[in-house]
Amino acid sequence: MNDHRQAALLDRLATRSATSDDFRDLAAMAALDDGAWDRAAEALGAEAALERAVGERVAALADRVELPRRRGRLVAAAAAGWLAAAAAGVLAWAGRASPDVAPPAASAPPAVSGVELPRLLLEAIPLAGGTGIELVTLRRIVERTTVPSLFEIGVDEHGSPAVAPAVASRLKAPESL
Amino acid sequence: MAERPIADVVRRAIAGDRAAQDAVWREHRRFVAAVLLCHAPPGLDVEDALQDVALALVRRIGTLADPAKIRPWLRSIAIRATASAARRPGVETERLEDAAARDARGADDRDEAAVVLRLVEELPVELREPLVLRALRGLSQREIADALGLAETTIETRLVRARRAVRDALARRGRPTATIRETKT
Repeated sequence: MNDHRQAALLDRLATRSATSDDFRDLAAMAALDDGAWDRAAEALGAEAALERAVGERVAALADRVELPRRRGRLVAAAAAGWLAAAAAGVLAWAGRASPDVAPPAASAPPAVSGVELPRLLLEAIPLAGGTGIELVTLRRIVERTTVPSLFEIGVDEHGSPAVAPAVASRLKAPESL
Repeated sequence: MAERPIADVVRRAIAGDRAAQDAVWREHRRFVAAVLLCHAPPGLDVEDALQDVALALVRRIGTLADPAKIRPWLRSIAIRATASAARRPGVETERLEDAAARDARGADDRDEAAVVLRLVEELPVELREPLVLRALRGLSQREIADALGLAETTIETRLVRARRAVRDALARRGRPTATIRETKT
């Protein structure tokens, strides 16, 4: 048996992948060479030390790192023809979105449900004649929009923006979108 | 975990299933950590690089075309992350022999592990990486070959050379094989 085959045999013994043929070869080798068992023991001992050292080191490092939670921003795929409306939606969102979450854009214009919430009075200005008043109000209309797919914008390992699909059902509060 | 369930989980992770992404990460994070440790240049914060890879997995797994290529894909991200993290200022030196892991062991074990890790670290990366991945257990030579994009026979040859180098060095230092010889009857 040449050196490479001997070494490969010892490696298979050390990594517990030796076959019955390998054990027969080892026995044959030991019958001719008194040092064969010692070399097998050395291989087993070295491999055990290696597995222990590497295993502990890697586990100590890896097992405390979990996937990051919601560090990116949420956006939705926007249909090309509706980018302007989506941009308007973004502006409307700006006042209530969390700092790291952007509003979804939609793939189709929102459908107006016909429901209008009570107006909000922003300002009341008496008219010059003293008998009338000018009101500035905010109209609130209920709309329903379907967003077919969500994506997250984050940062890749190079620090560049990267987009990946997001699962809406796993958002902490999807209804807030 | 068997190959088939992992492939299914990777497929779900690619589709955006967050629970599947968590499962993929937990299944592969030791592999990623091992790759990082093997490729880390002096001065690199390996844990920081590992977190970069975790973030990249979440952000970019949707771009992975073949679920079977998850390991080479993660490895390529990890290797790029070492280059990226190494450029950051103020990083701490962290290599295979880490102070926190060393302190967690007893004195005798600490010495032995420190010696082994130092010897592994001295190997050229083309020998070190397959040896470390194999020492993690759970990865076959074929899986290591797939992850590294090399022939299985190449991995076998490199493992033989790497083990021989470590074994010879350990034998010269009288550990740990001396202990085994003493207990052998």
